Amino acid sequence: MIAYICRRFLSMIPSLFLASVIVFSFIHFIPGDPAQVMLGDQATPERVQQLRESMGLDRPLYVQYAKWIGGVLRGDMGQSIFFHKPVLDVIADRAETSLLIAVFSMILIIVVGVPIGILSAVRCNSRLDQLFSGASMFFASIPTFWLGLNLMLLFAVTLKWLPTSGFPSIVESGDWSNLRYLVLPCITLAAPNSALIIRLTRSSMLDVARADYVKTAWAKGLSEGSVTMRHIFRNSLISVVSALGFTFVALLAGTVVTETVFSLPGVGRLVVESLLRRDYPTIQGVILIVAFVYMLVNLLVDLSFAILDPRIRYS
Amino acid sequence: MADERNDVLLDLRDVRVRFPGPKAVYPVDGVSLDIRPGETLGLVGESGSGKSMTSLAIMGLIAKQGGAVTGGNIYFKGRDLLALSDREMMDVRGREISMIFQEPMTSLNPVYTIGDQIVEAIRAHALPEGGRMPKRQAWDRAVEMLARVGIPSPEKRASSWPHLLSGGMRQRAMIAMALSLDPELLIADEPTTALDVTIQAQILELIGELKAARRMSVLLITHNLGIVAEIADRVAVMYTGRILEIAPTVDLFRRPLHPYTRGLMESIPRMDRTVKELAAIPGMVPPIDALPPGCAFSPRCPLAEARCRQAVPPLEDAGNGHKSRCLRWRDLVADKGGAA
Amino acid sequence: MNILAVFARRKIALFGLAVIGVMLAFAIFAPLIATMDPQEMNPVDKLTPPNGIYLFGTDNFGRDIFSRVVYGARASLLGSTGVILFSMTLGVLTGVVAGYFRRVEPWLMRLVDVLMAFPPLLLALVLVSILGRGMINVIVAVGATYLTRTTRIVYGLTLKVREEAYVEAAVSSGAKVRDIILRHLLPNMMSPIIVQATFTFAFSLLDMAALDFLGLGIPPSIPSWGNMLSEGRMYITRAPWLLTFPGMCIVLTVLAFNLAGDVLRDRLDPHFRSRIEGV
Repeated sequence: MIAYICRRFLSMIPSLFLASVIVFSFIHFIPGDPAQVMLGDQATPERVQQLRESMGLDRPLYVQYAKWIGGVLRGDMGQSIFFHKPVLDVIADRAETSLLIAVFSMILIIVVGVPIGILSAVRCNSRLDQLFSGASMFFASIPTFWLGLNLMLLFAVTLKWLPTSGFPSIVESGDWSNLRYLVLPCITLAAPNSALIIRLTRSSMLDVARADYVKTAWAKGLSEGSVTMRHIFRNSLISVVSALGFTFVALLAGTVVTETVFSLPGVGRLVVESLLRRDYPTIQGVILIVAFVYMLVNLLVDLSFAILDPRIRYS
Repeated sequence: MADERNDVLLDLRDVRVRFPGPKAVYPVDGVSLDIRPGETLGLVGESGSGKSMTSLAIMGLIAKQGGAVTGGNIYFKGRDLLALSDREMMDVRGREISMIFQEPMTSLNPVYTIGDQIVEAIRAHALPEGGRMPKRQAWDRAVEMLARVGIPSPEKRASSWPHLLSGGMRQRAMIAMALSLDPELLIADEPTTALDVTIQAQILELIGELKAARRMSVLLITHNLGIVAEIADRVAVMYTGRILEIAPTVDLFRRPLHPYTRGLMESIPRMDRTVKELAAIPGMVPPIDALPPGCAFSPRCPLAEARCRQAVPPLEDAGNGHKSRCLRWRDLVADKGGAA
Repeated sequence: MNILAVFARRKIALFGLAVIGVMLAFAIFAPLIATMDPQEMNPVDKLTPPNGIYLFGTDNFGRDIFSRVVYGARASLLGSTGVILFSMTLGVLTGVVAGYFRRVEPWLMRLVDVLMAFPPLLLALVLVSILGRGMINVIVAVGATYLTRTTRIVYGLTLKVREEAYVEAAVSSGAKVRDIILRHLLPNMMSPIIVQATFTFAFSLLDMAALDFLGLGIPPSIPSWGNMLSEGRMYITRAPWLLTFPGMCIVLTVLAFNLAGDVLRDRLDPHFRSRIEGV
């Protein structure tokens, strides 16, 4: 078992290297010169060249890559060209928002999505199921920005129950009531994702319900609750956990649109802004970290399979 | 109510099962059979004959499959199972009537240990004095049952996961689980079909031993006449949802009184005769949604006459507990056929 | 199997088909359906609510929203079609190759796995930054994110179909690899692939609208639903109709394709059903 974990960790390393190469090359294919962007249109070619040399942008690409990856391995992701701060600090500033959003959205998604999925499967093809199916499909088809804007219009602007935008830090101010700034964004993100989880849980459970051991469970005289949860749901967990893992990572960094709508200082917006500013080190840093987190979450999900299914333990 | 017989454990009267669809079908169409205490009834038929459906009807699991029992009664120890509430039927399952299935490889939940699953079966039913059996005691009983079915190192096996056991062992474990609460009726749906021949014999022997020790009745469902000849006391032959013939085993094999049964027996290859071709019943089993009028077997029957197609023949008594749904059964009495 | 009969069984699916029909009509016959020139600005009439002349009202430049919505259908449908053509053809190709040729399999799938470690929208953003704005670039950028997902799915399908008895029979009777793939593998994977394409169409429409909304998709000179939402955002309180109509169009179109995919998937062999990533 330990051997299995070690092997999985080790296999992450080449993937990470590959990811770093991909990230680096992609970023450096982006047309435009950071030095030029920083100095603006008025700068003289000499000054631009000077700046380029001082930032090391004139060295060959593989040298630049080596410098960068060497630094990363030592924990140094370079300096943000725009913020003049270490990239790690820049990301850390934004991490709070993104982490809180991801966590709270996930809680909403799990609490709403999974039980409704189970219920839909148990009451398959009933009115209730059709209602939930319809609602799920609807929410899965809504663009997040439109949903966000409408929610904002209703709750923040018309009813004035919640703030419209921004997010003052909780870590700095210690003020937990600031969480109310995250309510609308979390609902916006939770809606389409819950829909997907509902559908997945439902179809997974319906598949499992056809298994022979479920017939055995009924024949033993178990109650509907027991059969549903201990036999059907328990064996659907692998699919559900897998989907939830994937959802979590998407919530961490893929929330650009929601962050834009609600003006939240998150990681997604950081990427967009850095792209526009040609802030190479920051973009590289963020994307590499996101890739790393994704692989880590994937690994954890895979490990959870070993816990959830005894047949997998002995491989 | 009507004449519920006290000497009969299970009494199916004219049971009908309906499944909706573009055309409604009746996989079980007026089935009547009975099982006495301590007896083994073999229910024989090809796939699609309705034998598994009959067993599901007895267990009250037809609704789970999307169908409904639309007619008849199922008397068990005097009570009509069809009149019971869901709760009451749930209690009957596993405690008074147990069932084991065909595929031991997939009939056990892969994520729980064998012991846990047996304990679950035991603790699902309340004790006569109220409450549930304590876990420790249930676990001991589970180990005891595993030993009883001949599984070596039962304590270790109880803590094992199903995927670590062979097919034969799993089927034994299933039997242990089914018998853990001492049911009076065991329904075995093709219990040995998925197993090797040598293991088949062992499992059948095991069922026979346990049945004798507990004075339990067995409804053995199979398509294999050989098995039925070995261990059944009486046999019922099913075809497209109807019972065509029912008789004590020896009688059935010595003097089958239905052309279908004869056809089945004649198609068994024999070592003591040399034949040029294997005999097979001509034609195919009709689909359940397109049954021929009258006797469903008539298109394939060498003895068919016009009157066979007019109405579904009734099950007639030929004496000595032998019943046949063939209008011409008397012609078959004289003719020496059969597999004896 | 009559497709129409399949859809007729579920009434709601007919509704979906109707929506798709309307949107197709919008896209193809835009000049005939639109009441005005989508780019024509009438500053005098700016920000008027829906009325007799301007069916959906006007935007901040005085442009007729109804006409812009009609023309916007072109951008969205064209974009999504481009994405499925791009991602499906390449995805099927790479998926089959990875699934069938053992030598290539580990490298290819590791590459795909790594690429999938980047959140799709971010990947699309980076690609758009590299390639620049414009319809083709957006198609390639978004298409690339679906390419990896399709490859994964087709890879899985290939692995499954590869084990089927008829493939084994073909191989042992000496059929050429090309024939095996074209005549045995692909035809048996067609249904799930088509269903997947339907869902890809729906989700890529959402993704492209998101890019437009961020100002990183189709240039604002071309009317698109996403662009309209981006522009209309500032007027959310004053003139909410700027957001309602383009938004509803996106929702309805995506919903319609999701419905279609769902119905088609219900007809699939359960074998394949679990391999489709859809709603």
